[in-house]
Amino acid sequence: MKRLAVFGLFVCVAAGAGCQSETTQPDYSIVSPVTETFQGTLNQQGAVFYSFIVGNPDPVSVTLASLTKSSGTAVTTSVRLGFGIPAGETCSTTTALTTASGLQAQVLQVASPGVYCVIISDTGALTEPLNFAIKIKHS
Amino acid sequence: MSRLRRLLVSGGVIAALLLPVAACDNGPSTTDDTTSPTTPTTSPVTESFSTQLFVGGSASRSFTAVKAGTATVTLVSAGTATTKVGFGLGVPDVLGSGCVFTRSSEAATAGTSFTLPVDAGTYCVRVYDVGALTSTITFSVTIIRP
Amino acid sequence: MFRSCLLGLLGGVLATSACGSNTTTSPTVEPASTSEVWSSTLTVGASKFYSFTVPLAGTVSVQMKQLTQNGAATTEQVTLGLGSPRGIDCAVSGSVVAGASDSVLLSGQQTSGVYCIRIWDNSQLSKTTAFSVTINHPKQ
Repeated sequence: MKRLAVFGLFVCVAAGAGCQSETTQPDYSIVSPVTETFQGTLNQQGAVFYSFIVGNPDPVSVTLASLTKSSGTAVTTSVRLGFGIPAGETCSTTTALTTASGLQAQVLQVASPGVYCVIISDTGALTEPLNFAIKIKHS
Repeated sequence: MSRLRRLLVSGGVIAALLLPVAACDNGPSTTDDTTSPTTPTTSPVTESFSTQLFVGGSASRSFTAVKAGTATVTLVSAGTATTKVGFGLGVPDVLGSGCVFTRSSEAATAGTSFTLPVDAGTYCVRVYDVGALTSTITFSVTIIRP
Repeated sequence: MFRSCLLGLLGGVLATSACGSNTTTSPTVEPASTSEVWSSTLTVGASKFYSFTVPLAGTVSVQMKQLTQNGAATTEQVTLGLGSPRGIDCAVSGSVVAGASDSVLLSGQQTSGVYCIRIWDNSQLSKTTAFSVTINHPKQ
């Protein structure tokens, strides 16, 4: 008899928990952090962007890790690096800064699950097309 | 089985599961590190990279910073004191050419060094012939990383 | 004791049925919609894409009302696709080869999120073509 009472209570709690789960908890899947590398060429006065999916509301880090001439030699030219949401024919930035390449993240942003983008653009400092590599770490 | 015996068996199983994890913690985290005779287990870690550079060739090596800190790569030797080579620090190239540079020099000689703050992650050094070599040389690079 | 058992079981059944009614009887209300117009040009063999945010789940539909070459309407066709921005492009999940029309060319129920329309020449254009694409989607 006592066991039946406990069972009845368990059914109630389990059903209640199921309800709460459906109405208040977002359905996030567990996603391990991944690093995507966006490599390309930035032309004078140009801009290029890259879209990616964030699965978990963890920080997104963006590192402009390499900026080189076509010969492969590194340069310390500053370019614009931005983080945002794809909109229209571009990436609409919520965070942007002018930076040279480095091995520490230049942009660190907490993002809820969704589609985001990183954009690199010339601020007028380029005298020739440059190759770039941007590391994007996200969950 | 007595309660005490069950407890001992359970303890043994847990210990067996935990032992390999503890062993992992003691060792360096990359396979590259296992071949380096100078790798200590504390940060910063010093690694060596020595090999031959052929005329028109290049050689690269990746390394892993296990935490944020400062990375320094130094071209310790490259042929003679006046031999100039290309040398740089960067990140592995996903398009397959080995290593794309964050800092580099096309006229590096023995003693050329680059130091940068880094996040935890995988980085690389590359040494290459910029067209100055007339014969194969031997070079040595030291990598100090977190 | 028996009463407490019945109470426990009744509570469980009630909670379960409450869950069921929540998921099965909620009415489907289509939210108010808005239109975005994307006008640009497409060169021979090229592709372009346009991203937009759908703030609420609902119907997304796409029309291509204009397709002109040198200012005159053309009967040549392009491919239109609906998808999600990925990398440096728009990963299309559905597409249609079509000319200019007032008809809805692509339509579907979408959850909230960022989507894109991709237009490309599938070896059918003879010259640079101006286009106007209208995207209807739910608004906040």
